[in-house]
Amino acid sequence: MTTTSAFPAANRPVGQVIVRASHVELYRDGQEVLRDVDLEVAKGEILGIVGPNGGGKTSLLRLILGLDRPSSGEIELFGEPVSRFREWHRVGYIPQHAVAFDPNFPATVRETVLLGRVAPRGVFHWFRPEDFAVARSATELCGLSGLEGRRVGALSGGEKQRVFIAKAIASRPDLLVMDEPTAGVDPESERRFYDLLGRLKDELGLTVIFVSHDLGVVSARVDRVACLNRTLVYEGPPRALHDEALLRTLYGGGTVTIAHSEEEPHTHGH
Amino acid sequence: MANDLLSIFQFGFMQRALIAGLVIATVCGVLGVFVVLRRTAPLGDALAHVSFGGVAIGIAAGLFPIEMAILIAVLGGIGIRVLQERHLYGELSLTVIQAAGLGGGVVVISMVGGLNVEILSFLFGQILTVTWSDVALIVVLLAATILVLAVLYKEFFLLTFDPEGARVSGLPVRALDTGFTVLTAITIVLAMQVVGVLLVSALLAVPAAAALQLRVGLKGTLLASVFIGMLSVAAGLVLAVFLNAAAGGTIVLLCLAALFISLLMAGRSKQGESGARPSLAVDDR
Repeated sequence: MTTTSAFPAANRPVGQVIVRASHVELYRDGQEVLRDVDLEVAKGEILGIVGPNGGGKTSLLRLILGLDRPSSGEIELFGEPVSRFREWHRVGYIPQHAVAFDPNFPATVRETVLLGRVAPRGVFHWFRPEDFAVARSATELCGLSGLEGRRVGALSGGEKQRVFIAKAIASRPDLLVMDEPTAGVDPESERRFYDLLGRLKDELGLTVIFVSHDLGVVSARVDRVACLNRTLVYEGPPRALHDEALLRTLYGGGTVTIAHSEEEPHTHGH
Repeated sequence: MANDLLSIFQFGFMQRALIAGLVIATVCGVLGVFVVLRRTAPLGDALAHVSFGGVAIGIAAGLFPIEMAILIAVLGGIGIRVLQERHLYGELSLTVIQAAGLGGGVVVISMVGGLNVEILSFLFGQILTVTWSDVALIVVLLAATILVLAVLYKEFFLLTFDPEGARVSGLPVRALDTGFTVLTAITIVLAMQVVGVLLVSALLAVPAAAALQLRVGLKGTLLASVFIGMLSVAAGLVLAVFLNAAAGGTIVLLCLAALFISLLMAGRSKQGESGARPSLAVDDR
């Protein structure tokens, strides 16, 4: 059934469009993964993509990042089709299992954040003093001062997550893409994460897209949500997440509770 | 006693062995850290076996076996990359290319009269018999390898740390991967002269594995890995001469001893660290 009409896609973004997906379809091994997805993300916006597991959230992110190609339809980044897009240093990406990465990896916080400068500096070029300076300020912005010499693998989940964010913003991106950034971190770290997100948006003018299964916190912390269950069930202001009919459509029946307080941020579908 | 030990380096063959061994330990130490962290340690083994095919062809044809081995190993490395991109499972493509090199090598050798001393020396190492021209080849090629590693250090680091992130950031990941495989192939063939085909992947991976236990940052790990490799080579050469044992095997056993010691040290320091945050445990998800 179509529900897009019941929840009109109001509040279309105004201002420069950073990401535009038009009529995107994706099939994998003959199975439909995404159907007719239209999505726009404006500059300076925080967009949360929510939906059930297997709803295609990560697949959509991978299409936006150019890691996979859509079966049909088109995705544009900064007004350029993804297949022709070359300014990848403008896009920061934090993969899903960043927090659970190899705990034995030897790199320190300082070495890891500096990796964010690799692409902007370019192949065959040594780091320059400004690369170290940018990495340092990214480290400070993410509240990691004092941890520079520590091994990333020895940090807590929340600290690791901030290292990955610092690495991503050290490349001075205009768009930050994150897959399940709060999975595996404790509630206090989660709160700090969303505070940091707000600061990145305000101070750096960053556009943020992230995927989450955690409806409660998302509804309190983002400018817009996109509810994805193979197709875009809803796209607009997060207050619609209070609508039970929408949630039933999204999660296919059953009860869904949304906790609005930050103390109880957990939400469950089904 | 110390004088006795050092006096053996008056001999030309020991000087040549030491220079060749230390240079090889340096490159293996650096490259090995990336190989271990990228979980591609078996690649070293596969390339060594492939290069055996090159040695066999070289000996059979009366050409330069080392140069031929480098050529075949580089081709084999590229072949492995091509197979992996065709979605043949990572390990399976290693097995396929390894079988091609080894199988071809064995057939060629059997046709020209079976195993001889020269071939055995490639299987088990021949560091005490390297000539000055061997040393020159090793030094020149490995200096070039070190130079490439130094220039592409940050790219290889990013590729190792976060391959997908490297792709998203627009890095030429395929070219870098192929370049890394070629460097590994060259290093493997040259290191083969120290410890032989059968043990060369240990010289690549074991000092790096030992250094990784020390948890001293990436730069510190690279330095420690080089140091452990060099120490094992120098001490291994001396011990081998005094014990009248095979140098390659002695060197590898000393590398393993270093790994064992570093594992013990890591275990002890972990007990000293906060018990609430076990650094070897799978993360908190």
